[in-house]
Amino acid sequence: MQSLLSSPGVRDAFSVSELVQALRSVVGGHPALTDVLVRGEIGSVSRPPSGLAYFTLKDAAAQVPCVMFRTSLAAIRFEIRGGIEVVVRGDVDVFPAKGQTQLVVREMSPIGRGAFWLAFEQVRDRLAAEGLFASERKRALPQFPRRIGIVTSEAGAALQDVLAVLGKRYPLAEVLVSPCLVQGDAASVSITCALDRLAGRVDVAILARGGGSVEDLWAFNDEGVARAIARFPAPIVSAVGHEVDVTIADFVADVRAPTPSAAAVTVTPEISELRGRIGVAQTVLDGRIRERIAAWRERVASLRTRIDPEAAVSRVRDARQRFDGVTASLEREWGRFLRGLRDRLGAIAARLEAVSPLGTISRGFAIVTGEDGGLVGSITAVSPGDEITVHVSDGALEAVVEERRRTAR
Amino acid sequence: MTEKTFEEAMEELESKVESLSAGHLPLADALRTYEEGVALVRLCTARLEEAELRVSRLSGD
Repeated sequence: MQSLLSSPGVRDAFSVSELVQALRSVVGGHPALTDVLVRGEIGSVSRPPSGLAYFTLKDAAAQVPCVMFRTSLAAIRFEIRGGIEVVVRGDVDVFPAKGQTQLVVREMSPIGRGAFWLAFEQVRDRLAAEGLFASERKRALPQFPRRIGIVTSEAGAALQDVLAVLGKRYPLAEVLVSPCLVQGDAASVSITCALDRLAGRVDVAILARGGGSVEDLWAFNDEGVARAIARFPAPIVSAVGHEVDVTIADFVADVRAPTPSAAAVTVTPEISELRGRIGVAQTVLDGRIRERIAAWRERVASLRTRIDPEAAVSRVRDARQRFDGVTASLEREWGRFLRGLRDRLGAIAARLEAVSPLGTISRGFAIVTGEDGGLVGSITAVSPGDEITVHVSDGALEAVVEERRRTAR
Repeated sequence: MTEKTFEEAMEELESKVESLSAGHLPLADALRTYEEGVALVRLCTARLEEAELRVSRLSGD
């Protein structure tokens, strides 16, 4: 066997590049390996900043490295993620830098669910995980919007529908139309810009588009649009397509309306309702002020009765009566007191009378006094011939003692 | 007063109705509130009658 290192061996050896080039010339452009359809499950995915996508496509027994360039990637709406069953169209080639056979994928389509649905789900799940659909993020619509923004196509019927409803229901508002494309590849960026332009200029905004196919409405499922809605400083009412069409924009919007006209109704109070409210306010004002005045009148009336002159007179009369009563009883007591004194005086006088010698005389007895004025109480106090005085009730008798006679016992 | 927007007028009107309904206002204040309320009713009604939708367009970039 000839040694590998013999001079013809080294001379005839391929360089690596030559080998890979040879391989490439066999594989690349081979009819069986060009524009092939391959089905399989996406395995690991790598998305370097260059914008390419590297991933593997596999089945139970084998796998093949794949690459997808930017232009092809732009056409698929969903995110390439492990586990998705896809069918791809592409060409087999050799990647020289790695000497690796790979499938250059030009088209990719999910198997089973449609690509749109898959993309929709992916965006929805991602934004939901971030909390962009959370009910606590929903903002209340202003009661009386002063400036209403409309983001829609200038050419669409949706704009006319919205303007017609606003004009009829709430002509007090000022409307700012921020026009945008609503379909096609540029639509999502256009919508995002239109929203951002309107930011800070309105109290509420309507994002509207008339009905269309899923592809037509696609821009409203765009993540960028969803984020523009989320960061919009005022509440947004979405009305995209018909009632059955639900887009990501609807999930992020503060309120979802089934149609553009319905959105216009949602953001405005009805003018006749307002007239009604003004009428009610007027009625209540009238009623209340009348009640208040009546209440005050009543109070005044009640105060007046309290300061009534007649009432005052009668109060004086009452007082006088009470005074008279007191006076009368005072007099009565005084009289009783005097009578008592008088009675006591009479009693004493009577007793005095009883013990007075004059009293004795008044009953027919006499008192005898001697010449010296002393009482003659015994026959021995005088002698015959003595002058005595006999006191009787109305005077005195001058007498002379003739005889003394002792009373027999 | 003429510079007031419909919305402000409406809100003010409803707050006046409320304060008048609540009572407790001294008579003079109640009367003044009532008069102001009536003026607001007139203003709001006039604004509604005059209103005409103003539409302007934001130019794109």
